[in-house]
Amino acid sequence: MVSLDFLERVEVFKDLDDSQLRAIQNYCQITEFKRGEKIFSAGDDPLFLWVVMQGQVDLHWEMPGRSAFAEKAVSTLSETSTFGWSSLVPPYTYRLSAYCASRTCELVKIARDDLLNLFEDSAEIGYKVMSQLISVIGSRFLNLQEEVAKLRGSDIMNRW
Amino acid sequence: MISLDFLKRTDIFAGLSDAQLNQIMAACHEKGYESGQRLFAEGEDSDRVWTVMEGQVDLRFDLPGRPTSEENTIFSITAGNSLGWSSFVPPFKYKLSAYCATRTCKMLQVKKEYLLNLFEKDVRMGYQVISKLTGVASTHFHQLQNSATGPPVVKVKITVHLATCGIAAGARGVMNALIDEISQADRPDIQVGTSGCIGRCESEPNVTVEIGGEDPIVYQKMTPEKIRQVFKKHVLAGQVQETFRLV
Repeated sequence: MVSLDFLERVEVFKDLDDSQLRAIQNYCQITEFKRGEKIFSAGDDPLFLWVVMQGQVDLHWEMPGRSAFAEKAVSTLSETSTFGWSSLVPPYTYRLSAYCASRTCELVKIARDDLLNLFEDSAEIGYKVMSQLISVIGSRFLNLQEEVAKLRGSDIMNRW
Repeated sequence: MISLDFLKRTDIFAGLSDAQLNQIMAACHEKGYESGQRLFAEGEDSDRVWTVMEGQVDLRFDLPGRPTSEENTIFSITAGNSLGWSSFVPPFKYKLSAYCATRTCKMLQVKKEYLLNLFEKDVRMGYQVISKLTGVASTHFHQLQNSATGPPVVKVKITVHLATCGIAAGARGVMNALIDEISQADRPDIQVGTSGCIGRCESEPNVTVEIGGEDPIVYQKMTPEKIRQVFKKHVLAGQVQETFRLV
């Protein structure tokens, strides 16, 4: 059972009160992976939102036809980080692949349909979670921007 | 002019009731921009949401210490689509720079503070709009990702050879016709330049067309009519005009 103490530390659930956290808690399932195991692939139907409980998860770009740059891990996530947010926003497709990057990973998975139904029933929970989620995306955007800046910087240097 | 019908067609306000849209419309402002004009720069305070009413806006990742360039365009936004989701994300700074990419752009603006006040009173509206805005942020994230891993954007460079021999043969008239065609095509990704004689004075006026990474094509004995044909058929439609080509 996922504790409320843990859930309130999860980045997208930070603003929820205890009764709202309990509503989320009802839909949480705990699952384990071993090092190197794939959690999901880019292009998969995103059925779940994921949260790292213990261990480390690497996100990779693995779209067909992409360059070698696409193969490197774009994010390494640790405890309380959320991933698989494509499950909650159009076009509802995982864009990255996720792997367990530590000896074991303990993850919380929450079914997309359960969450979206909950948000419909309680718009306040939906509003709070989506307001946090847009911040998570913004933070990942900045990380990605740094990677792109490094890539473009090295391109410019290589042309000299 | 901002209307309910327009708001209903936008990416972030679609699905709201007329009463909700009327509340949003009360705080909407309209502002026009000219081609190349910057709407905002990366790093500036972000305090409002923008929606394109007319024209096209390029979102660019300008590199520090380098002038802005179309090559830095990460993606373009057209009518009905929105930007400025960073106004809802700490530290509330724009993450890219935005430029008007068509002859003119008309933008709708709504202050974030006004929206937040509305959302406090009507949390369902807040959920609907924030969900849509989160979708916009997600799309922009993936477009940035694609810009780093996808093929380069096709760019067109047209060079009119304007040496004395070229001018004597009518290159200025060719240039004027070309500029006229470009302005009608409304394609800001096409660059026009001039250079000297290519050493084939008998074939002047010459024009070189370079599209993306393809080999340059040099055209000979151009006239205003011929360059209009080259522009329409080669530049816009990708069909090299072999009969005018210098071999």
